[in-house]
Amino acid sequence: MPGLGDRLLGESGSQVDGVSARMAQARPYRNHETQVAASGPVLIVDDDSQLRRMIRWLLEDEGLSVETAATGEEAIAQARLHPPALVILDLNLPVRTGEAVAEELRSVHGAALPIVVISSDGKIAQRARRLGASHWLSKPFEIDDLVVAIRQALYGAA
Amino acid sequence: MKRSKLDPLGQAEYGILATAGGDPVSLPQPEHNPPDVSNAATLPMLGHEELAERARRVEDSFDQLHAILDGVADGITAQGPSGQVIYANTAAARLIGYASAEDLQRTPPSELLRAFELFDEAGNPFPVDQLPSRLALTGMHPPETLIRFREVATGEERWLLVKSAPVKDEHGRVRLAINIFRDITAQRRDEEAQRFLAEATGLLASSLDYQTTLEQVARLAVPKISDWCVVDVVDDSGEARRLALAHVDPAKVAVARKLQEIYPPDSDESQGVTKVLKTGRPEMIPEISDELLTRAAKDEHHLQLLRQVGMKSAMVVPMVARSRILGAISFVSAESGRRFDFNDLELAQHLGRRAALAVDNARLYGEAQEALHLRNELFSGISHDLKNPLTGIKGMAQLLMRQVRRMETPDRDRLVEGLESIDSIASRMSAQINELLDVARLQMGQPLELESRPVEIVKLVREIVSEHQKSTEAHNIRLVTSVPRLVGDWDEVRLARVISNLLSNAVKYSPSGGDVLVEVSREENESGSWALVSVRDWGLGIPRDELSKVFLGFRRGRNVTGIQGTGIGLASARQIVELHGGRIAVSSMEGNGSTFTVWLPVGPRVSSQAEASPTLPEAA
Repeated sequence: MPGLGDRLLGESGSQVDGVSARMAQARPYRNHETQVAASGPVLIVDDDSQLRRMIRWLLEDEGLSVETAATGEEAIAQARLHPPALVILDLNLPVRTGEAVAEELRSVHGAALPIVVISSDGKIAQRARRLGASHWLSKPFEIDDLVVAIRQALYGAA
Repeated sequence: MKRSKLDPLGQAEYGILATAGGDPVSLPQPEHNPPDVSNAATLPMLGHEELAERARRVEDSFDQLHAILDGVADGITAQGPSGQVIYANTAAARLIGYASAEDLQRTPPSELLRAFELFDEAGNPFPVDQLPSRLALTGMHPPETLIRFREVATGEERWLLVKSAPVKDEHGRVRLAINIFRDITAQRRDEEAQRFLAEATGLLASSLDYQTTLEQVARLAVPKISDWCVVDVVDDSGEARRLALAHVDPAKVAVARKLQEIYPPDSDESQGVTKVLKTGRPEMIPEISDELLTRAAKDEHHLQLLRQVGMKSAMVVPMVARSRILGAISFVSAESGRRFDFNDLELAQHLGRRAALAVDNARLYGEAQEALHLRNELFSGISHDLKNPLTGIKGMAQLLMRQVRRMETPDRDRLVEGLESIDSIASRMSAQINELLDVARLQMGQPLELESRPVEIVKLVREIVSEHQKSTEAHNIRLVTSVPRLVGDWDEVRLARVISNLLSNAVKYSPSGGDVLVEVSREENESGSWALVSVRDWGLGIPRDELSKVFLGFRRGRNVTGIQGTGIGLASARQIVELHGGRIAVSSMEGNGSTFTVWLPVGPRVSSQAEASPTLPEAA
């Protein structure tokens, strides 16, 4: 997966808004020699179709392959078809909570499956910690923050 | 020997009313005997006429003395050295429980004492040899003493202030003891009542948990005010509910509960709690006779239980606050033999008003808390609902900025598509905000002004269906129309919101996907011409007992967890439809989906909503 770190860092360095300051803490260590290609697609689970499209474009631009799901049921079915390398999970899904979906995905795809939680829930930090998410982002988030979180979750860069 | 019953109205505490006519009271011999006119011969100085005149005057003065003594509110007796009553005025006879002074005088002192139990102020037995009259007969001048007399036969109690003094002859021997009794039962009760009221008020003000405080008040009322105290409250649905039933003896409570269980009070009763709850006016039965019980009893067993409770006197007062009847408090006297009077009723009414205030306050507080809670839920729902599209706008804008910065020649198609996406999300947000403003307006009781103009509903529904189909891959939204075009005079934006709301609900509440059927048709009936839009899904459905509440604000089925939303959609949908002069209805089966149907008038609007309501099968 060459290029991802380059582009991300190159860009954030030139940013002038508040994002770069926050990015500095979360910025991954630049070491793309050690990066390994993700073994599967990123699965986006969110009931908002516009949001799914936005994240899909974002990640495809980063050279990642992407699958999407609007509900927990769809997510589980998609994951069966294309075992994901990472899941971006909205906590407030119809019918089944994000927690329940995370639990089922992990029971099938292993406890190590990295999950990045996105939500507008006020208790997102607590909920994310409890379900063992690797990262969490409050809606609305900066797309650069999402890219950093995914990169860290996938390649363990710190 | 006939015992007088206490005046049930308590107006005769001092015996004033009982003295009219002057009973033939005997004064102690020999003073009592009028002068004998036959002795006229020994009084030679006086003529017959003068003698007769003097005798008349003496007789008159005795009559006057009787009248005076009988007119005294206090009871007055004179006892001879052996303790026998040789004079009693009417008030004394009545206070001690005799019909007349003669009855009292005929009763031996020992029997008189056996009829009563005596207690001091603290409730300890009062020793007979310490009675003021006994002490006076020994020549002492005892101080005024407060004694509680409890009549053994009836259980009736009186508080008497007793003052006794000896009358001695020229040799210093005690000839008489003169006793004066003042009945202060009413004052004592009044003091007790005020204390009770103060205590009860304190209890009622101590907590907003009115159920507990009313139970405490009922327990406080027995036995100070009555032997029984029962509190019934009317709940939100208008049903009366027994909140408290108190008696000093738990065994009696069990009997009363059994009584109520076997013979629940009729709703059409012409008296008692049911009547008070209906009229809001107090009821009092000063004397409950066995005949009354027999009449009230539904059968022999009922009568037996009623007798077991042993009701003697009863009063029921309403709990009224802000012109609403919130409940009733019943007081029943039984083994104490107490007869309620108007003073008691007044006290009970005071208590009823205070209890009502406490209940009202507690309920208002509960409602305010509930409203606050719902508002907080709404706020968090709104912020959630607005943050989602905001994420899309922000993300898409950042994404496009990135591309423009990065590339020499940005991908024009993607740029247009991204900007369109931002525009469409922003429109959605704007619609959401308008909807919230509508809801806020409706909740504040401000009417919405419809912006009606001709709308072709088949096209409108088709657009909404297509939009919703884009947002779901798991559902197949089918549109069936029985008419090619259907034009009405409606508010297009708000109507679109209603239909969109129904569709997103159908999608949202059939999480496993599947068919959603949307039908548009026209219906003609006696009430006019109607456009029908129905949305059917085969999802979770709505539990039967919640079906009637779906159009109320802030409701979501209890079989729904994890589905976001504020629950305000259907309430405002109904209001919008009704503003159009139409109607919305739902039918559903839990586990087998729901059908929402909207009727909208086609053609000129009928002014009144009631007249415009289409005839349709009763929903829910």
